[in-house]
Amino acid sequence: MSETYDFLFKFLVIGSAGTGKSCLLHQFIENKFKQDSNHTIGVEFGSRIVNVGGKSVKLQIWDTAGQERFRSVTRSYYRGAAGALLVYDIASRETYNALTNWLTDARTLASPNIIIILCGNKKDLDADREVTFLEASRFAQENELMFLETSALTGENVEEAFLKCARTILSKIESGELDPERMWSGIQYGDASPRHAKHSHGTQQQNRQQCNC
Amino acid sequence: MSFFRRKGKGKDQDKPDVKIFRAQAPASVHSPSRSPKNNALLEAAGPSYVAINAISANMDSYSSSRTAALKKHPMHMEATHFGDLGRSCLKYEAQETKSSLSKSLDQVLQDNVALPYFIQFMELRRMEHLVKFWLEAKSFHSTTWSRIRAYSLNTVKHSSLAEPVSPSLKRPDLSLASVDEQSQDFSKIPHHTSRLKGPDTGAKQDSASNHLGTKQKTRGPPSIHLELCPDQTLPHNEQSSMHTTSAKNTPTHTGLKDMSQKFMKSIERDAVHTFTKYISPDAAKPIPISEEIRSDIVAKICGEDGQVDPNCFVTAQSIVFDAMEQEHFQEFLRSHHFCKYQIEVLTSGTVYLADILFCESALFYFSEYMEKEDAVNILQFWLAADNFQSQLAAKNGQYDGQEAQNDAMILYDKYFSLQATHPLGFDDSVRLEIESNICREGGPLPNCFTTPLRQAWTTMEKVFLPGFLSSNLYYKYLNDLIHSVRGDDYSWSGAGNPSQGGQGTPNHSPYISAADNPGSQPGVKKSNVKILKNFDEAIIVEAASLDPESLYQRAYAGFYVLPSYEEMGPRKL
Repeated sequence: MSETYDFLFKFLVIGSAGTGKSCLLHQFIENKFKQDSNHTIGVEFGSRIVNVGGKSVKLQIWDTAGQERFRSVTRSYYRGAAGALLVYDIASRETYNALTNWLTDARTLASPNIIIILCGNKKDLDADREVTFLEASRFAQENELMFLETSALTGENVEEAFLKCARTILSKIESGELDPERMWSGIQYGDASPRHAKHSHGTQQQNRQQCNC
Repeated sequence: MSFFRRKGKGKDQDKPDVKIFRAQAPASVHSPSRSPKNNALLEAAGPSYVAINAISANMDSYSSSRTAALKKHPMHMEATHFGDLGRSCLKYEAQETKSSLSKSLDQVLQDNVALPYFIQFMELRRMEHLVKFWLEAKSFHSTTWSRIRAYSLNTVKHSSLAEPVSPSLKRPDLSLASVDEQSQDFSKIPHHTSRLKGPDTGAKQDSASNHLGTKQKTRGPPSIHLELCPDQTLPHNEQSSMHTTSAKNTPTHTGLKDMSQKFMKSIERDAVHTFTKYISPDAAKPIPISEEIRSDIVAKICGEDGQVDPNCFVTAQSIVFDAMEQEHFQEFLRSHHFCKYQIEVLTSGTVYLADILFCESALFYFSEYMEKEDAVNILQFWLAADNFQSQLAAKNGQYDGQEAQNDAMILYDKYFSLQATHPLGFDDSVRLEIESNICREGGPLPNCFTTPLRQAWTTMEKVFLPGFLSSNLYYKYLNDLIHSVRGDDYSWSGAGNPSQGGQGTPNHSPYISAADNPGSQPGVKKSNVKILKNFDEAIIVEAASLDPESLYQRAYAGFYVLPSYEEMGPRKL
């Protein structure tokens, strides 16, 4: 548990109840399907370190309850997330129709700049499909989301969804679009960060400015 | 004080439970249906089956004591809801859910350290009149009720039926019992309020009444009455106070009437002032309310009975609150003003666990720290159980008992069961208490997990918080806050903000300075001290741009005093 990393990103997993949010998290962290079908009470989090473009990135992933009765309490954990998985069930039209509400919450409560990937989960249930890939893909495009269909059961595209999101965040950091040191960015430098030197340098600059005052 | 209350509550809860379980322990031990402790891994269906079996076993062993348990339970509920200790418990819980790093608009508006930053933020958006109206309406509401209460107390004193010290719950009855018509008129208003607002208002009023009662017990009626005036009333009412003193010497009916008229006049004047400033169509910056609501306010100020309704601004206040929350508050939380506030809190004194757990940005760093300390399950349990209790409590008793029980069983299976997937090491007495709470007829109550929640809280507070506050992660957290402020300051100055021109102005409100100074204590780190000095200048300069209207300033200062007083206790401890 004392592994080193270059960055720590805060992630959210949001979406309607029963779409497989906790199973996606479990599959990503434990690399196997979560057998018990208990629903999430409030909020839980897990973490895993991945390698993205040569950088070691730790993802702190907050899994939220999808039930309506927990909606008001789980929203308080949205703030300051760098990325989010927005999950619906391809075999449930209802969960797809609710995406707009979840998206509004994420952009309002977390950050207008949060990086979101739309996940159509339960891809293994293609025979029961109620939402086409094309339809969801168009929704993602219109709302500036990335999009993947996943299966927490088989593991297909699960890791890719998290990595794709992390990769986008990392490229925005490198292009200067995202400032990791800004509050609410949902990003921390890790102990092993090569930017630590820059970090210290920044601190020194601040000290000088203060001395001038 | 807070610590003492916490202990008291613990004792109150533990005693009856311990008695029950002690009586039942032999039965539990000898019960043939009880499953033996088994650490071996079971199949997927195993945990649920064993858990259900364990619950059944416990229910069987409880059957002989069911009557005793039922008798105990009502008493516990009664104490919680109606006794003085119940009120203390409510205060305890209320305090525990507050983070000084502030979480909601309601909390910001009541926090005299955070409020100036929010006002500055709203000034930049040219919407400061919303905040100011809300504050004046709140001040009017609380001072008016205080004056009515003080007047009623004084009237009761003149009645031969009144006792010098009376329990807060009985005060309305005494008022009603009084022969004096004046007190009867005023006693109608509180009931009116209760009907309008429901239980929440009642709770607040009870709290205020209890506060007055407490003062009364310790210092005696005359000093209380005099002390109320300087903080909460305008100079005009000081004159009323003097008149009250003379009335005490000569308890005549004429004197009471005269005081009553002056009293009503001052309330009406305050109401008209606020109306003219913020609500009238001719106001320089009227708040956004409909004509219908404006008419309703006029009707309440100029009522047929000549009395001003203390709740005349409540509807408008609610609309303004919603507008601030929906259109401005989220941006405030992302602003450098809020970061400045957080830095001030974190460098001005003691940081409490509540400051971390109820502030999402701090929780992000604390979660990582707990993970490094391999203690993440404690935090996980606390988060899940707190969320469970919060959403249940928010329903005010109107919830599906079966659904709540299912939710509670998920937490039980995960953290308490003998086959728990994430055992935390709670002892048998806690587990048995939880089992009893979950299997309660009608479903679990919102305080179902309070005992283990308190234990988890204490563990995090005593064992992990000190380490976190001296960790590298905490340093990074502070650095991110500072970085956010400096970044925004730079771009803000570059934008040529109008208030920049006011930096040379020597004039600034003494009230604002007085309010700001207590929170501007020097931090331990050298760099932080300089930052705070810099902030002080900025704060003072920006404060100078506030309107210097004398009435507003006095009302403003008056508002500040109350929250400071109420919040002093916990910090001292």
